[in-house]
Amino acid sequence: MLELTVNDKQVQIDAPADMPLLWALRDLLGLTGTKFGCGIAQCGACTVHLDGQPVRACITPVGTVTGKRVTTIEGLAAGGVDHPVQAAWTRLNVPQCGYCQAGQIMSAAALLAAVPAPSDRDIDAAMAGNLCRCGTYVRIRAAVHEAARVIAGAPAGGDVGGKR
Amino acid sequence: MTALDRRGFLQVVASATGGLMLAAHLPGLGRAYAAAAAPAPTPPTLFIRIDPDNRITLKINKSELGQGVRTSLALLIAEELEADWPAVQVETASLDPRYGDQGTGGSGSVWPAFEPLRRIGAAMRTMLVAAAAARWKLPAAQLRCEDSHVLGPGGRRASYGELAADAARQPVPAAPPLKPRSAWKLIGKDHVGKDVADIVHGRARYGLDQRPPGLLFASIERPAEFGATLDGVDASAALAVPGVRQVFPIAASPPGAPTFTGPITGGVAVVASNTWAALEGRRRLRVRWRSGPHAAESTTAYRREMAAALDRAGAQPVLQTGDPDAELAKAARIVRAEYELPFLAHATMEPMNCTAHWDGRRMTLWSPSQDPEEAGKAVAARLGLAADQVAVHVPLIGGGFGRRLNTDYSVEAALVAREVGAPVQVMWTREDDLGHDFYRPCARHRLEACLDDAGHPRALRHRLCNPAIGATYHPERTRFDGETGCVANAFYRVPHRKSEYALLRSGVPRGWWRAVTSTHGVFAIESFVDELAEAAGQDPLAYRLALIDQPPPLGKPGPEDAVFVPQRMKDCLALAAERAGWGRAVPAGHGLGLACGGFDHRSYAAAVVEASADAGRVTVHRVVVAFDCATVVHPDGARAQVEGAVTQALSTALHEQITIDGGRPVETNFHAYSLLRMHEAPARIEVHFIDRPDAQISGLGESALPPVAPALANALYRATGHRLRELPLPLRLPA
Repeated sequence: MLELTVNDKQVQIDAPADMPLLWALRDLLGLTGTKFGCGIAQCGACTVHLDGQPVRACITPVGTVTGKRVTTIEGLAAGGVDHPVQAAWTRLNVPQCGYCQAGQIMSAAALLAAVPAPSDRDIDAAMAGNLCRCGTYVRIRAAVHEAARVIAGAPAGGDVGGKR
Repeated sequence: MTALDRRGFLQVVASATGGLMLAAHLPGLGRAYAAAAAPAPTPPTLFIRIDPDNRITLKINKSELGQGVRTSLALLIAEELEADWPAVQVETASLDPRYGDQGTGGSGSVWPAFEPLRRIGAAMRTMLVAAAAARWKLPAAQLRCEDSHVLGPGGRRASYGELAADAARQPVPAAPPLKPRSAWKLIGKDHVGKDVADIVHGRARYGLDQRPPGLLFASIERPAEFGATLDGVDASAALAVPGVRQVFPIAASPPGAPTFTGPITGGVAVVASNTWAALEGRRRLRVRWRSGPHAAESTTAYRREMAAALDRAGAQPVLQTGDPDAELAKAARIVRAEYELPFLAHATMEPMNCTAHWDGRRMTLWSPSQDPEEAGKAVAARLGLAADQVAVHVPLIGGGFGRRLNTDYSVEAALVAREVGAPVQVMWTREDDLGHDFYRPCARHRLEACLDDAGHPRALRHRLCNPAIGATYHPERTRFDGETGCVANAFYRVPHRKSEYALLRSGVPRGWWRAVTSTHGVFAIESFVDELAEAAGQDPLAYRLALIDQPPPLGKPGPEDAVFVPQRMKDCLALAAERAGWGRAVPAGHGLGLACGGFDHRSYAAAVVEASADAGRVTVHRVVVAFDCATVVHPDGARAQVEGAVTQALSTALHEQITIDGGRPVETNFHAYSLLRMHEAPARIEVHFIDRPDAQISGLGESALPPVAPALANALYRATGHRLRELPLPLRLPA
């Protein structure tokens, strides 16, 4: 049995230590918000936080995360309050199919924790590992800036869709 | 039962909750695939339910793939119903003949629903008002509706939920009047999409998130080579993996069998208690494959063959006006160019998958399908079941782009489920997904033209060689009627014109890929028109505007009943050019390029791209699109569709290609099949819609895509002097 801390909860799973965290989350813990996209850390759909750092769950053996805090998209809205990234994603209608967006949001949240006011160049660098086939990149960039403004204390402004 | 209009009727049906439930039936008119050039798609059939607690639930018959159809269709009903928009819930209908055409494709979900769904909303509102009028003993004319309530004089107010049971006993109005556009409160305004909240919290349930009780997980080892067959398997090591339950072969579809929606490859299924165990078991299979008839096929050979076919006589005539051969024979100067494009994968972020359960009598599928009806039919046919033994539920879908019109992944999941007897989820790995797609066909186009004294094309010969989509599904045929990349954008005025087609034989499965044949046809023609403008010494915008003044000589591509209006295409070109600052001085190393298209989906689109090749490295700075689909129901969703089409087009233009060697794709995962990434996305994508209240609404999911790649190539020509005639474009250009 492995003991994990996922979204601030202690859980036990019966899994081989080399099983990627992705499948432990999805198949053993029922946390299907984290997505499979490629299995080789090329698309970022499976991005979760490990002690606050973004990692690709598809190549992270579950045996290596014991004793660390795993945060998935289901646990990002701490205390039921949307993370500013989730709020900005909503207001700017970022998702199309939405399948990659859990990974995009987790990468963006980790970026803003490290760089509260990122430049376009910072965003490009931090988000280059997250593929989106529907083509939401331009909105993601705008939404990261919007979330950064809100984190800095500015009111979330404007109409749905916002200015791009 | 009461006639709603000539095309359908509304019916009050029993609602289990005691509320009002209306079933709107609209008879089928045909299927909606662009490639099949079918007649007009069917307006949707759907159920609307108003519960006593004032919740309104719409059940729609189209799959949600990210195009926002659950939001835009709901807006149409809610507008006329005067519904409280945030409280409107949307469900996707499971397969049921009562829902009519449940196929989602051909940019054909919103426009056929535009009037019928508003009429349905208006009919329901009329019935609710009649119920309130009876209750309050007031004339209906004194009542009005707002936010799911009927309001009357003296502060009277009743919720739709309170009135629903009475409203269900009111007559269904035959032709309820619609609001004038000026009174619209929801249509034409921006809203948060109906699925956004679930998506950003990780609650949205896609195909791979289905978890029926007792679910097992399966992965299928497939032949890497197209047409290879199973020779034998040693499963002992696979069966030794903890969690692996069963290993068994899946037989391929018989070769050469005609099918509308694609054969299955067959392989060896590994069923386990979780996905990882299934993948580990699969990795330990020792499978022997028998090579098949396509083992020697390669992209190198295809390219040689396509080039040779363009020289050979015997191509199929597709279109001819005048005598282009004679005109070209006597011309003093011929402009001639060839354009080549590769196979493309759909690469949906959610790979193919299907969850299935055989309970001994009935097969239940949870299939992320663009066409649950075809999926159900294909499963019934392959397993020898009656239609009513197959249930198909449609979850949210992580991208489609045409790939999920195919039924292969549903059929193989059903075959696996029948062996297992418990619910089982068959997940395709990315390698499966990229290696067993129904690819956008590769293509080579040759265009030859001579110009008249004004510099306008006097004669044009357009020859296309490629492996047609149609030949994948109907081996006895070569191509679908609508598969006419060689007559793409045929609206340019050319007195003598000929288009011809030559089939490339290939074992690579081909299928519908967003915007289908115009993805390569428009690249060829819009690049070539730019070359003609240059040969004539004219501005590419003015040149196009001068040549667009009549309908294309054949109705195809484009629906039979759609009438090409030259001014609408010209207005798109002019608007995109104006907003992009066509003709302005650009920074050194930058260039502006433009292109248009879209009429194959009834709409009109033009794109201007600003790009540079600083030190040879290609950068796309800005894309401006002007789009005319007559009416936009949900502007922010529509902008998202166009932004997505632009981004996907840039991805194909700069990166994407499936290369074949040894009868199999070389690119196996995203390390090799590159998609556009964040740092390559343009700084700005601007979308401008042209509103035409008097014209028929048309689709917008696809038409913005084809003009983008040629606009980029044209921009890079202006930036660098290099005319780029092959996709993907080289990322580094010679300085």
